[in-house]
Amino acid sequence: MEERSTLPRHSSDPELIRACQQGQQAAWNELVDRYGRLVYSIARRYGLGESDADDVVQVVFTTVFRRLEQLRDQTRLSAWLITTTHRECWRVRRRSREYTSMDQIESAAPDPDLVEQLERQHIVRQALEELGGKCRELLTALFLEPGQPAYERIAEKLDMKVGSIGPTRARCFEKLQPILARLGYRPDEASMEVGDRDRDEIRR
Amino acid sequence: MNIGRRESYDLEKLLAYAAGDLTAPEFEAIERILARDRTAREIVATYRSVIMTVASDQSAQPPAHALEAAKAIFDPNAIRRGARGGLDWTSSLRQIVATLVFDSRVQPALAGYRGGSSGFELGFASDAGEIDLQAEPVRDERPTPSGATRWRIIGQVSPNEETGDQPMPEVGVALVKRDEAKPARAIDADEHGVFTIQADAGDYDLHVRIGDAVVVIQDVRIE
Repeated sequence: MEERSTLPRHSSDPELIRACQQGQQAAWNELVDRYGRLVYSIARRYGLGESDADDVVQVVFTTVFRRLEQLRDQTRLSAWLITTTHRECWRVRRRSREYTSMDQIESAAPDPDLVEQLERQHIVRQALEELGGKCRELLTALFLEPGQPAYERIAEKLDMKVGSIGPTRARCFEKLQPILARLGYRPDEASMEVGDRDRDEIRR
Repeated sequence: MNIGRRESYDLEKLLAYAAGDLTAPEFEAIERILARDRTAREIVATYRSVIMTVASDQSAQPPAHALEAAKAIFDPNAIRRGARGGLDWTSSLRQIVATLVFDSRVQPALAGYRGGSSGFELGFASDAGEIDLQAEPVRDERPTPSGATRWRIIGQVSPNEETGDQPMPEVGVALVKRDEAKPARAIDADEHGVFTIQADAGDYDLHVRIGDAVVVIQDVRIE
């Protein structure tokens, strides 16, 4: 019989792992839901077909399960998963005839910059998920437009007034920031160069 | 990343700056704030970084069946057994049931199989690989305390996957007596997938670990 779940809301990775070690299926399900997309996406990013990507998900989570005890102090589970998934993709591509030598992944270890980028993407997805509701909808709509956002279209889509987007964006981002901080989000270096914007971008 | 000093700037204006929404005078005003306020700079940097992160995110949701299969890997019973002495791979890995494809006791010997009047040979196929077993009684050994005959089982594991110049996946073998949870014998195969294991006559399940999969051969009668 499954043990009663004692998971706190928005559990951290170490809390999830501890709950898994106690035999809580709910914790494992949460772990798979939290990281399934990351693992699957890496496999697809490396050009694996759907079936091979499915297999990679199984192998990686089997590895997680086998190493639950060793993962006790794991606070960077995402980095560990990215490396494990990369290695499995590398192995699949090397042994399969479906992929030509031109398609091969160069190294058994992932590029550290790629690991950082994938971790950041995972954290932002998780933070927006945690934020939920209208705030998630608005910020996602705004973030998906890296240039000048089309505020009229976004307002229409979300059934809100254009004039309320600015204040709502500020309120929502204020809620998002502590979640990002708790999840360990660090802006990339390029974004830290504030003040160097091209002045032609200023709306006149 | 904290926004404790709200009195020195307007968050709405900062984000408008980061999004490129400001007029020239507003822009200049915010730049003056940024020049002296580290927290304001961090907010703008975080906002821009998140935008770039989302824009570069090409992730895809896995199919529901893949997530369900991954959730099914979890076995609370294996965890509980593990709590008493480490996770036991015979119960915690992806298990594949093998199919008997050859039994020298009921089929005529095929070319390549060694003959033997007192021993027997078995062949199994599975998604992870083929396993051939040759069992023979150990004649030059004294009877066991229980009086059971001692058997020697020589096995060869041939993984299905194309290994090319890759090393043979790690192969481990465990004999589990029927109705017992713990393996009676457990060993690792050599680099060619060959192993030798001894056991008393009886009914066993043979668990063969090939990489991350375990092939389970049920009801192997050794007698």
